[in-house]
Amino acid sequence: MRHAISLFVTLFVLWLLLSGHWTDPLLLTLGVVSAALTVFVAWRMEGLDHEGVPINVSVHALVYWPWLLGQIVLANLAVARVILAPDRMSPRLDWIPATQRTEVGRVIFANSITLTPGTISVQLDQRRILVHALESEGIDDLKAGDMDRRATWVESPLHAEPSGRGDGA
Amino acid sequence: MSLILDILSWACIVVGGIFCLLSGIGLLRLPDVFTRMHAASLGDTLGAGLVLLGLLLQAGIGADLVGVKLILILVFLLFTSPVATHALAHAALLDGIVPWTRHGRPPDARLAPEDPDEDGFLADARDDLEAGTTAPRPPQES
Amino acid sequence: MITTGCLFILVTLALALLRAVRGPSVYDRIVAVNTFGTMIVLLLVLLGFLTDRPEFEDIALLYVLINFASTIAVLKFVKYSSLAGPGADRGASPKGGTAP
Repeated sequence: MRHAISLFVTLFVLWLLLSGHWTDPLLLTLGVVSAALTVFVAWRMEGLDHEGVPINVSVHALVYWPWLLGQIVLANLAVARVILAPDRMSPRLDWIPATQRTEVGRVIFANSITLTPGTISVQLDQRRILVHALESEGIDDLKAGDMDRRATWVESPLHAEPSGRGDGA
Repeated sequence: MSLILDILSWACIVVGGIFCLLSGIGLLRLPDVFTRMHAASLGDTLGAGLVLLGLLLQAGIGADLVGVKLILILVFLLFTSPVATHALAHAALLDGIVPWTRHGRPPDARLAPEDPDEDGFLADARDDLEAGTTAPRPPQES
Repeated sequence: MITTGCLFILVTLALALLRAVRGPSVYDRIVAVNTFGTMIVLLLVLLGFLTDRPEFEDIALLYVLINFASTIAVLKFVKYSSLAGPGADRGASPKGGTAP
């Protein structure tokens, strides 16, 4: 039920933002109906669980995303340098450890790896991720585990120690 | 103030355009599928991000909620592009394309030998199809 | 100034198209077409600002999602030779299996 309500609220806010109709009661009713219909279809498809509607991701994400944005900018510069001078390239394929407990946590970690240019997650396992990197330093950085600790911190409950912060500096 | 904003937005759009151009050059220049995917993700992240940020600086939120739509485009792009790239890389490796490495050495690691579909969703669907029992839950009428 | 951005993106479109034509494997072509779609989205947004027509952004928003879905659909078709998933082309129809 929590999943259904949060999905409904998200969809209706999205509808309001995209349509721009705040006042007309008929259009607002139609918006509510369409959001409810979408929730119903998601329920029929058995998508209303912690995986389809990840409401358990804590507010740690608000700290994680700006950090990830910084990493993306740095990685972009590195890949741009490789494109201008392909001789520096040393592509590599290797497994790196992943310590997340939940599936949503592993998806966050794998998507962060792929979102940073220069590294692509190719396959996921229970404990590790197969990564293709444009430069072999990319694999070394991931094996050092800074991003892994931070992604684990995102999926952890609020009172957990922020182990990912501090030792990256 | 408005002049500073204009210059900032112009710089964002031009630098974003340059990153897009670099990703296009990388698509042509790099030697195999996997390295080209890295080049493509350059345009998906910083290229698109900077162009949209530049336009956002110019538009503000705007009367027609233009700014909200720009932010949503960026959010959808950042959520969908890694999924597409991951699916593409996995499919290419499964299909037997060997990643290019310097000096032609074989890569350090390979796909795990077991079924790549680890939670068994596809395998379950396949078994159901072969056994002739398709629906994971019975129809509601019965 | 927006014209400069458009120019960069048009050149990128040409480069991606060249890779889609030349690409040795089908995956090269899919990467190129995916990049092409992203660049089209950016071009749509820039054109919306250039010609002062904010409707273009709704089209761009839709195009982002269609681009993702089409990439996945083409990949699925290449992998399983069918849009329905593995096993669907082996003759066993999903609905017909349970019929008496």
